[in-house]
Amino acid sequence: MITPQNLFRHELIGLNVEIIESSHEGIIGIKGKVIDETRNTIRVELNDGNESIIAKNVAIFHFQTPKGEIVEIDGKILVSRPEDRIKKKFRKI
Amino acid sequence: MRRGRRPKWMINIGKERIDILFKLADNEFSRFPERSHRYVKLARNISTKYNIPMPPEWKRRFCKNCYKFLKPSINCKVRLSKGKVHFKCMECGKVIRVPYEKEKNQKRRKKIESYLIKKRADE
Repeated sequence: MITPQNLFRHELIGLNVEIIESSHEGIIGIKGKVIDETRNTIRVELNDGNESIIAKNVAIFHFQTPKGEIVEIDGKILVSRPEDRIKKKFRKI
Repeated sequence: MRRGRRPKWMINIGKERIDILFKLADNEFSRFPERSHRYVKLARNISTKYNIPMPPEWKRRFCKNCYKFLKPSINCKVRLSKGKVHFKCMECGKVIRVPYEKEKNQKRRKKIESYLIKKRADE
């Protein structure tokens, strides 16, 4: 089960995402579905069918869990290979 | 903790992630086959890293030679011959053979039992 507590260790592909804050103004407000993930980037499919690649460490994301809860996550926590995120340690701020 | 062994909560998360990835690969295959091949690669990375065996329902759904997602009747042929199930990958041509001897014997045993019960009833 994807819950707000284990979302940063869980699978991001398939979730809805929105970017609310970034050091680069052009990508603020992008909305869509995550379709791929690498160490430093995620690939988002927009509602009109185009795709865009977004760097993780410059943005703050709003992920939507399958139950409908919205979780805010700083992208700097997510920087690591997708299979290594399961064992990542993180202290709550 | 023994070498290579992971705690239980990590293994549970890994199993769920593998299941999510294969379900997505199955849904997306008709429109974007490249994506589903990529999801198989990600799922295999998790399973090799955390010593998780592939779940039985997804074990035969990717090629063991080229690691591509297989969808029967589109890029995979499934046939029965000589007591084995043949899965042929249409991407690379590799054939995986899985015996079904156990199921065959079970069926035979059931048939004999039902025959014996019928015979006793007649007597």
